Amino acid sequence: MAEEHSQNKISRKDFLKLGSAVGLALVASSVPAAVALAGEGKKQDKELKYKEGDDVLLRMQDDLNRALSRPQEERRWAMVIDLGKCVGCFACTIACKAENVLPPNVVYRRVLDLETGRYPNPRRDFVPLLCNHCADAPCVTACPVKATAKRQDGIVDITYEKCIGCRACLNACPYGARVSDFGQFYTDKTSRLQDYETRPAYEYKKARPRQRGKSPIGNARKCHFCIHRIERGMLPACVSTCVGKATFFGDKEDQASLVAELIAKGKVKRLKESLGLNPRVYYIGLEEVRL
Amino acid sequence: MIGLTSFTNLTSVVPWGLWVAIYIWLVGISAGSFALVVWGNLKGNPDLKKITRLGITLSLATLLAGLLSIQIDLGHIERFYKLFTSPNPDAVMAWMIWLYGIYLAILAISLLWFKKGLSKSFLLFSFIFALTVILVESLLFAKPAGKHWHSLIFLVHFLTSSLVSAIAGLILTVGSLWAKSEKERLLKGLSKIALALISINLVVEIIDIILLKAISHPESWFLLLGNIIAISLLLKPNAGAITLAGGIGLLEALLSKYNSLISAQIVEPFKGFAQAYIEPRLKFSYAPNSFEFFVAIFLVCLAVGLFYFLYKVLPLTREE
Repeated sequence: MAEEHSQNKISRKDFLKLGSAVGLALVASSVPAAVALAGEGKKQDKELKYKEGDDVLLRMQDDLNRALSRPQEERRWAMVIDLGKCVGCFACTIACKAENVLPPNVVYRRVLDLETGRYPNPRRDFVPLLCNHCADAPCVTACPVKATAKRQDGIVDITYEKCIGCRACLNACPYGARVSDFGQFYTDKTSRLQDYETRPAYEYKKARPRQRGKSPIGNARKCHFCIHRIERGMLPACVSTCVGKATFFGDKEDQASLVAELIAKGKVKRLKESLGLNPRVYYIGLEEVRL
Repeated sequence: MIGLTSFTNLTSVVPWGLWVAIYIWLVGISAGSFALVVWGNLKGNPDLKKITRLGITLSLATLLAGLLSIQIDLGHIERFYKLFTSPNPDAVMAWMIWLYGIYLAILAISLLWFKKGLSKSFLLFSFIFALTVILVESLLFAKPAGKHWHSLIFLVHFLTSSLVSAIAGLILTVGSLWAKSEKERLLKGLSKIALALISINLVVEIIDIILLKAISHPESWFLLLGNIIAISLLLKPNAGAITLAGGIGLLEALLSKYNSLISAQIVEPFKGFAQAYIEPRLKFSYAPNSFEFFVAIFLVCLAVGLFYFLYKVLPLTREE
């Protein structure tokens, strides 16, 4: 047993050799990209093709700027989530909460934490869930007052001032992506509401300080792909904070965009595709997850 | 202004709770009792013909209380008018509002012109319209693909339980208000219709329970027991037992609607969804709080009070 153990053990010398090799490989692989970015400038950026190791945030920012230069009706925003890269850190959930000043009981982006399989083949998967911005959205059909509508660029939005709070859309959504704002505050039942709860949120490009009796309290709420950010040239909060760089965003109509490229590779799947709702959130590696 | 939902135990998983159950129950009684009395007039059923105005008044009172129950359930009560000013023609709920408007007009016409005599074509139209109200209302619940309502049997069950609640409501009102001389004879006639409807409802309920794999649920047995007790009471020839059967039928219909409404919403869209983000109003369970119960009792009392007011104002039981 001791002999077997000593055979499997890596000696200090071997370990140092291995470490040096890995280090050199990493430095070598990063040099061309760094040289390309620093030396060739903007022209090079446009020609950049996404490869493993490239900075996807720069690429997506470039895609976003290009998309915004075109009229809204020519854009189709889409999100691609690589489940193989998601580390389950929940940074996207927290970033979304902070960005949209979400109160208690309101969440736009959850992350499923699934433990499946049995020893010796157990697995753990993380599946971020959000509004799928379906092309044929059942929530749009269910809304009796047209408060939920599909924008020309494919984003399903909610006009808070129109919403009557009937919650028909909550039951219509097969993804459980919608929630109702029942008007709670984290500092309810304390001497005073804290400023961080009443500061304005900029959802749908309008500053709304959270006040009792005012929308979005009493409304249905959901992910809106951070319209207020993307139309100002910023990526959605969940994308820019993704630790594993697993979330990609862009215009899928733009063939040069990263999301279009990832979708075109054909390795993407969508949730509950059999319902025929044509969702705009794509997943890489979904077929391996036992949902 | 916000709605009263902040004070309820509703969650984003169960956004429709006790008040919506009360709403579908009251509207079921309304449309069902109207359909039954109109059908009685079309077919010449003497018992149903005799209670036509009583039935129409019951329909009116329960409809008004039902509409109030759905209004107070809104997150923004003050925006109720938007259902009329910017309706979405694709939404079942918008259609419901238009149907209720027409239905209210039909009820008013029927109540006001009944004495002068209503044409057969109007009665036929009214009968079809009342059934349409029930069926369109059931579509509101049958459409969501992610929920357990998405089955054909739900539509049938919705119709049968509405008709059961309607005949039970009619029996209870006749048993409580009708003159003693005619009461027993009338109730015996109505009990035959009730017996047929409850039996059909029992069969549909059993099929629904089997399809939903809810045989092990205690509430399923409770509902079946309610039907059986009502049937056994209806077989007795005395007025008290039949009136009691009416009360049990009404209660059974309410519980049945509540049960199918709530249980169908507590469905995880994905495995592990309930644990993905945990907060009180995102939980996969629901039990009404005392405030919801008080409001529900108020709504039922309102329907009873409204009915009693109209009963006192209009000669409901005297002229026929």
